[in-house]
Amino acid sequence: MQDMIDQFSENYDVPFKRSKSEAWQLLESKLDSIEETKIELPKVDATKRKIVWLNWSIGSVAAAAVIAVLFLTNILKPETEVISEVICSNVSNETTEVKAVFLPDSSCVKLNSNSSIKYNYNNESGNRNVELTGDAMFSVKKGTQFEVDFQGGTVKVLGTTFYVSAYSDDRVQVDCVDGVVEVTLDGQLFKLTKGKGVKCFNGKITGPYDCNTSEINDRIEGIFIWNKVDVAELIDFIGNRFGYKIVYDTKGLNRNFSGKVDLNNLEEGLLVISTAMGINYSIDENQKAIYINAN
Amino acid sequence: MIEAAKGKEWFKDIFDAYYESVRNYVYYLSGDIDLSEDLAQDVFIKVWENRENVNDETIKPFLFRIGKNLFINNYKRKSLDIKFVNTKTDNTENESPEYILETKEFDKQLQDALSSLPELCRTYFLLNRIDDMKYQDIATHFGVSVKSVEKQMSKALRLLREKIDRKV
Repeated sequence: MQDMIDQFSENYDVPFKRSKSEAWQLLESKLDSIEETKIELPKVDATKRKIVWLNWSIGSVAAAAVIAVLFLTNILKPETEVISEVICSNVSNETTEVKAVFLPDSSCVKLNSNSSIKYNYNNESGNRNVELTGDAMFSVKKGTQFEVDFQGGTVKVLGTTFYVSAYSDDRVQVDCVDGVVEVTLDGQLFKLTKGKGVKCFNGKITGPYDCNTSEINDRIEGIFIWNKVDVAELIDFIGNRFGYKIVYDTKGLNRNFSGKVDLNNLEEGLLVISTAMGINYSIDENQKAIYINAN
Repeated sequence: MIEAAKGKEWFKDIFDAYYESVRNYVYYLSGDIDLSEDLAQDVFIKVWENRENVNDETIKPFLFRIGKNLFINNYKRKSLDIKFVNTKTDNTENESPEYILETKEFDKQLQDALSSLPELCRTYFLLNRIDDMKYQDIATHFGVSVKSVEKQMSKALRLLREKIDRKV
């Protein structure tokens, strides 16, 4: 029996959620916040009291009466100052690498390229709000309501993991990796559970559909798997991801793409899609444009 | 000799050396991984804020003390439901279904039994088995004798044997 106990217990590991490097990043950001708070915020006493010393030579009864009057007229009342909304600075990622951002509540946002967030925390209601432009994976710490606003929609959660792609309101996608996510897209409300997603492209809503949660996680590594997706939607997404406008030399592609594309490099990604779909492309770096022409 | 000021490099070394131990230790106390990871952050923040007074030679017991105090002072005790990842049971390709079932059953019984152990012998047992701390190290960290640690370890094994339903 003891052998079994030893054999099993020696192979146990703690089921950690945050890797050591993530823990370090979070710790560094907290230490930076502590240092900034020490420099920037004025010292504010939570309660201020003014004590008025009276000349007791005029008699304690008279003094008590004066003090009573002062309290009644609010002069001698403790003052309490509350720091209202605290807004974190905007964070943007203009690199091609994923940027992990830790929010003050320990939630983590993994920003894909050409994406940005602005975080607001209301310390009266405790509600947390992020404004997103771009593509990001959210791991939200359980707590008060956490809301993500983007062009064309909103996501509300209490604590879960989900993916949002919202470079513009032409194409918005929300996939739920874990927990429950409430999504408003184009005025319609959806409740997504684990492995469900919804998207809106050019005003057309698709979903809720089934999605593979490990494929969602791969997007943060730049690997995208698509299943019968309109190639115009795909190219539009790639343009937004890398910050290029798309110019079509041809009318309507009317093709669907299924497959896996590595989007860590623009040219490599476009090559895979153009080869599969029989389309030509050229990139104009000066104009920051991608020209698409169908064969 | 002038001691070098304790900067970020020193702090990163401390973090790399002890973060997992601290997180694990708080987990053995609480059974709550979210809490453990958050409290581990608070432990290191306290170390950073008091870094000029920290003695490198006794830092690990110091970290454990902070972790325990933070846990006790701020969080209510609740019944523990401690769970571990078994890094060995996943490799069962060539095993019979009966063996796999028995293994999984034993694993569950052992983990439930660990949750029910008294705090001190559970903590010592897990520090020894998962974090590979020797009895002498445990004794030094907690300021007790080796005999004391041995007694708690014997108690842990006896209780585990009693709680696990196995025919010998």
